[in-house]
Amino acid sequence: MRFLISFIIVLLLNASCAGTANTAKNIEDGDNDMQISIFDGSALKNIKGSKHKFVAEHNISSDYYGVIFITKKGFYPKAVLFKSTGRPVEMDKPDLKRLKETNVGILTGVVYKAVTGGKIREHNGIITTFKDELVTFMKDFFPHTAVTDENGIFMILLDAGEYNIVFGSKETGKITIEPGKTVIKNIQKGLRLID
Amino acid sequence: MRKISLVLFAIFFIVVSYSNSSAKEDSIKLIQKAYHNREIDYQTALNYKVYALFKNKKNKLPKDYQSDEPIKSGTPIVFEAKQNSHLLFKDNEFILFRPTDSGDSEYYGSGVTVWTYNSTGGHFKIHYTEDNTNGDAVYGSDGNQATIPQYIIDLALYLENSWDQIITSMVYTQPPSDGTAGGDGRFDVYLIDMNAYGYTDYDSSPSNCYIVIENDFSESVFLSNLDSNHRQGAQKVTVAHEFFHASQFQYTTNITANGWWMEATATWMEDVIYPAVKDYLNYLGQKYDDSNDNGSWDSGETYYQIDGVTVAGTTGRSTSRWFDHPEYSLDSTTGTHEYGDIIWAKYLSETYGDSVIKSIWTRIGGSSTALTAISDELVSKGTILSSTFGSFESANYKRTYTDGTYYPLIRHSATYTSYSQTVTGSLNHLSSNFYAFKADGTTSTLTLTFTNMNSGNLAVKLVLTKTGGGYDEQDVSLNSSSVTSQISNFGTSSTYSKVVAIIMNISSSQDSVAFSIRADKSSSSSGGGGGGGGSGCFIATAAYGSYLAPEVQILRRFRDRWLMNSFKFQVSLLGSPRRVRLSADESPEATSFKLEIPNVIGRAFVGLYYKFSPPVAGYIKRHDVLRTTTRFALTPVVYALKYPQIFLLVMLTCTIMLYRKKRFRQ
Repeated sequence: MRFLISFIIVLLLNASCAGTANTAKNIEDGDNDMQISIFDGSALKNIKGSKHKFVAEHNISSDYYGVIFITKKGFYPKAVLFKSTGRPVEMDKPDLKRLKETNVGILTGVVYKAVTGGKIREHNGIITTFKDELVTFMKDFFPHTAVTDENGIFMILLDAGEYNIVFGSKETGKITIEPGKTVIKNIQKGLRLID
Repeated sequence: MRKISLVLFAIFFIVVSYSNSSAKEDSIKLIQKAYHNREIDYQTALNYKVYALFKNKKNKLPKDYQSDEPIKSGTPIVFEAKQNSHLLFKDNEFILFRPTDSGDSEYYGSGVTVWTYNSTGGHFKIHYTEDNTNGDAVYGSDGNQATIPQYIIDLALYLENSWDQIITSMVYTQPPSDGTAGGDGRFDVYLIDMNAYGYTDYDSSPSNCYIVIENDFSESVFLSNLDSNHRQGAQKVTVAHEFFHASQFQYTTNITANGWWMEATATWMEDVIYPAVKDYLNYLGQKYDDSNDNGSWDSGETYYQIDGVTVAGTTGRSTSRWFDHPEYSLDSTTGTHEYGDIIWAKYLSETYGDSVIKSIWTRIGGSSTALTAISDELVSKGTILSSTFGSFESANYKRTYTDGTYYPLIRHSATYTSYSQTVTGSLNHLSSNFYAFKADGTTSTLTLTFTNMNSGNLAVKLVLTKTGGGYDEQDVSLNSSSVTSQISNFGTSSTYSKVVAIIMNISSSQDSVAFSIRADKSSSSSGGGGGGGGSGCFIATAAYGSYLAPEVQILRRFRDRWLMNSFKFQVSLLGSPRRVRLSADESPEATSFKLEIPNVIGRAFVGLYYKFSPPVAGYIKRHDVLRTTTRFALTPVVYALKYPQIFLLVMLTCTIMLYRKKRFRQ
């Protein structure tokens, strides 16, 4: 009898360890689902990377800015504002914090002023971002407001559904939030055309 | 000993606590606390908060309120300052204005005096300095505010002229008044030393836009234009360009979709308002002599300055301009491509009038993207974008523009003089490749075969260079997986000395669309015998007016397939072998073999036809009555060849009827 009980316990332990190993494997697989995008003030481009790091090629002129967004389903995203040196950006894939809430998604983005053009020297990128900017998302006439941080980046949890974006007292578009997913919505405030 | 330890410990604890409590509060909190405790009045608190916000003013803050703790949010302070502007100290008033309005700014530098000049037309306020501390003094400064530099007076005139043309005459949307930004409601223009011609900017709203322009255009890079005064030329085009951007902002600020069109039309507006300056030529590419006729500039070939006449050199020509890269998509912003896109705006305006550009902008203002707006506008004019793009590329090759004599030859991907050739590649949306096929001294037929190009995303236009000058054009109908075009009289002493195939991706969005072309050249038939694919049908061509006429093509196909071709058989041996002329692959063990009998009669007929028909064809061509009569005579022949079964049925019916009639008579 004792032997039987011991054997069952050993089996249960084994099963739990096996389960843990499987979860770890899922995390590794999940890393491959990590989405990395770079925003240069004009377009959001996806980047491919290896399991642990990525190299983001871009055409952002030196001394202007870009934003790298790292997203993964079921996790909080990360947004990194960087100043271009004209060379590709290399980064290690960061650890993301798991999203515990269900039925919510995340909306993130940057409020920026873009620069483009230049007959003599190319100017391309984000010239500045805006901190303490209010961005409102309306659903069923109910407002949800996000405020940008010192890097001009905002992040807000929203229930799944469709929202109207209100910025500067104007509606600037719609977005759809899905559970567990991150939506990137960058908002242009200001523009400089060189030449 | 124990008491001493306790006292020391208490002192240590108090000091640490005090330090921590101070360090945890930012300057704003410290100031607010002092105001609430009535240690300072409201005005002092307000100004201390502004000092705390800006790093370069922090040393003006008393030490009691300095803190390393970062301020959470500066926006409320800025709002509070603007709402109580009458309480601001003098050195905090900068917060009320755009940075460039004040002497204490990132643009002009600390302590630099900035003056203003109002244009006589009342629309513009120019902000400038004659203090060259940081290099921003305008051209012709004398340091005396009472004497306005001619540079400023000229600029004001050009600005007012641009307003008159763009807003009053062409009725583009004017930038609204910016309230008191810049000092009043006039449109603000700031002059600063820059590494650019200028820029147009807005921070919070397109209604608050302003322009910044280079202060002296002294560097040589600005002076490449055809104005008699190059500096004024640079001023003129920059003003027209930047002010049009300010108007464009009232239609769209979507640079992702419309940025290329914004620059193309701003450059176009330079040329509309100041057509003599022609600064835009710098973005199309320098004209050159294509001495070896290979369709591109090679080191050693002479190239010219933008006037198209003054020799610039034989080496070092830039190959990064618009005419050097027809393979770039129309809406590409690589390098300066979007500025060179003026050529597209010029093609549209020279074809449909300047108002077409305004119409497209109106559509963009209704939330269309530039390409969609252009496409819709062309539809309203009875055409489509793909067709217009083809005509556009033809115009680029032939340079049939008002200023075409200044433009370089569009770069060819390749030029061929020997055959057969197979050309493959791929194209992105709204881009082209140019391939030239050159003839030699013999008269021949060039056959171009286009394979698997029938997806609907590609188009081909052939431009045939006449030996006597001028061009013919032909659109190739890519309606099957293998399409052939034949160009007869291909020879330097014949009709066409060169054929340029313009391969185009006419899709607005599809990239990497593959194409494949095979070019063969076959010699023309003269006298008896010879291979197929010889010269055109002279008499039929004369009668129908063009060797490309469908009727002529039917006759040509009949000639190539039946008269010039050989009859081929597959012979199977049953029992004893038959003595026949065998083809080369015969072997004693073979039970079947191929047999080819040349059409001797057909070839002899063709040889005689080509020998005697040219003068007859020439006579027919000069007389309309003969041409009509010949067409009438050829029509049953053409239809018999086109519908052979029906023709045979008709012939059989007529034969039967004639036979029965004859029998009846008998």
